[in-house]
Amino acid sequence: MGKQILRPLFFISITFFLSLPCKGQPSAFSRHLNVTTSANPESNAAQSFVIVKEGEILIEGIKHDSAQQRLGQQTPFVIEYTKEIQNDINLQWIIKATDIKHGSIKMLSKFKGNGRLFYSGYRWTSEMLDTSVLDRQRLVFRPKPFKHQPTIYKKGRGPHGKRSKYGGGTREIDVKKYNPKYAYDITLNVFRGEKRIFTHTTHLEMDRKDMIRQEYINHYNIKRYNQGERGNIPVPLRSEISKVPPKPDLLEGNPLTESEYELVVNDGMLELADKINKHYIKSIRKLRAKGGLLDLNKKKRKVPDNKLWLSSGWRNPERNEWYSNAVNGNHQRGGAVDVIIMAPANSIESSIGYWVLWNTLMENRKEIDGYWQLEKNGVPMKTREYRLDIEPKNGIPDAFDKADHLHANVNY
Amino acid sequence: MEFLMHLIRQTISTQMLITKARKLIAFIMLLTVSTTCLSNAAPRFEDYFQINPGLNIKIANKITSHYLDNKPLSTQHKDELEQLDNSLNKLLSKHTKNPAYWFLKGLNHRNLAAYYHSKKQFKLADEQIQKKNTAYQKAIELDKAELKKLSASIYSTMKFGLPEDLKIQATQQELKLGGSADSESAYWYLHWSNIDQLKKAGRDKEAEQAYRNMQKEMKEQNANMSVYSALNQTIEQTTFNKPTTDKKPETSKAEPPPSKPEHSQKPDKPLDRKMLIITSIVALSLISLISLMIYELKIKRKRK
Repeated sequence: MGKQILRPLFFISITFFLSLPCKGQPSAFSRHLNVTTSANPESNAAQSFVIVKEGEILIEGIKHDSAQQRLGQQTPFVIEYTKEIQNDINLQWIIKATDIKHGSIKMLSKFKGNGRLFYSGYRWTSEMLDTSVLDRQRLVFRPKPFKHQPTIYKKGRGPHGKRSKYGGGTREIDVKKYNPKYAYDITLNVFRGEKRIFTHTTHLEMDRKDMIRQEYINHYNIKRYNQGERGNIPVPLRSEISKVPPKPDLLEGNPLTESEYELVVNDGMLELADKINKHYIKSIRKLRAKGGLLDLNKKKRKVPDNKLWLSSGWRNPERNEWYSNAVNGNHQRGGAVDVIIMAPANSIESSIGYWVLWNTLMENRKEIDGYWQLEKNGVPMKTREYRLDIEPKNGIPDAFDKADHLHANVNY
Repeated sequence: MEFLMHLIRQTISTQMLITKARKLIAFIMLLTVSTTCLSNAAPRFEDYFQINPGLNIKIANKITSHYLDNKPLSTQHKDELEQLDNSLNKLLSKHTKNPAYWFLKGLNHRNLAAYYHSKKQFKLADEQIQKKNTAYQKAIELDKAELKKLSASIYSTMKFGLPEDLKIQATQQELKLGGSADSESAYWYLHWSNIDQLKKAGRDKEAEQAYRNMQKEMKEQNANMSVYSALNQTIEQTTFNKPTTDKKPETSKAEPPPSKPEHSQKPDKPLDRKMLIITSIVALSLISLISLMIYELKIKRKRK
């Protein structure tokens, strides 16, 4: 009796488990669908892409030594059904944009179809394509270019500290309004008469490198407050985007980027941060051995043993927009770092720290070979603030009392 | 610009005003010139202080320019600053309760102090600093009481050189408004500044509470603790003089920040898995029961 019950139970269970959907695995790409998403071989291999407005001239190659070139125009997406088909076969293409926001597409194939907006995204379905339809085995379309949001900027936290609905940019990635990851599901239904006999699917999706490149494209030529300089930072090549390198030894704080992409453009920021940190540590040791430094009132001040804290390295354009007023900010080029003295902001310890750091950089300017400025609220200190001691009157020039960080970049 | 003005003058001359079309042209030109002028006017106050609390923006922009410009200070500057002070006094007689005007007044006194200091007239500079502090005190009191017109950036500007208690108030208001610096780190350092000031003022309990608030906020904001635990430890050691308990965590030899799951997947992922497991167990047991029943029924029929 037991065996009689167990046998069918075993078969039923196996059948049931096999029929369960395999969650988390990507849907299998059909080998009969040949996909072209980009003229860039690396993007194309990953079925990834960037979206460039028709007729727009953009420069790519962001690093000092990179040979700049014009970024190629948007290649239409071409999905080709490579299998030979008989005359009694009908085809039907379906494009599903994975988000409502990316819905608009420009259909370049000659055949007709209908688009519908669903909560989950936009779906376009072609009519049934029989032998009379030319090129029915090739689906060709373009995504609509992304419009940079918003067009008006306000810097800062906004009223009552609420930053999220104020100003532009985002610290996160794949945010619909700012830096969405575009993706399309493509389905080809193959019919014999009215009966569906095969379904082929494939998936086009921006990878992280192209998401970063798309951010640069979206920010090309923008202005803050509709005035001032235009942002015209070149778009990085895929080869210029790499994994985050380790931070210099003894430098506290953030990695070389806080970006969630976990990728970075490094155009000398690592070496610069290393040089600044090494010289600063050396100076602190020297001054402490000497017993301190003389302030403006010729009074000897103890030099605290505060380290440097890396607050910012490479920023993707959206993050830069969130934090900075500088459309062309060098943080986006991978050539700039911000450092903070590891002491309470605007305390006497931090003032002395910035003073030591400043003197160190000036003494070693040839070796450091870069540009630096002390900043407060993103604005550089004035020349006279390096001499005057007005508020607070403490024997330390005002620039060092007020600074909230030191910005340094390689020479551009 | 002069050329355009000349053109306008010509356009509006009596002879030209005869025809309607010419009137229209004159109007369009006027409109173009005025909008060009407006768009060229740098909104410096709003840009830098991140707020427009409904004040005379022309005066506000002038004072901000004097504060931010990196030019050597001349007698002409002084005259202009004194004129601005007069204009502000007139405005303040009408808007006594507007903290933004009190802030502007303080900022203008600060500009004057910079002028006197650069001319080595230290006594006059000190007088201006006193006036500045009084104006800032008024601004902070009014803003705290009801109006809430001032931004974090304004508080960040005001806090320097204020007496201890007022400086703490300004720092705390700046914190409440989310800080004004341009990085996440700078915001946590502002917290540290608040804690440190309270501690130095002998307000130990408040300092400890401020530290707890900072940590709570770090948790709420999902701050990267592989980075910020080093900061917390330093605060404990230096500000609270607590001995080091354990070894500092390796603060990332540039360990990339822990990857956060993407937005859309955040709430879905664990829920999906749970649902899948529950539905599979329920379905499996149902199917097993049904199949068992069918099987037993078949056997019974056979026996019959």
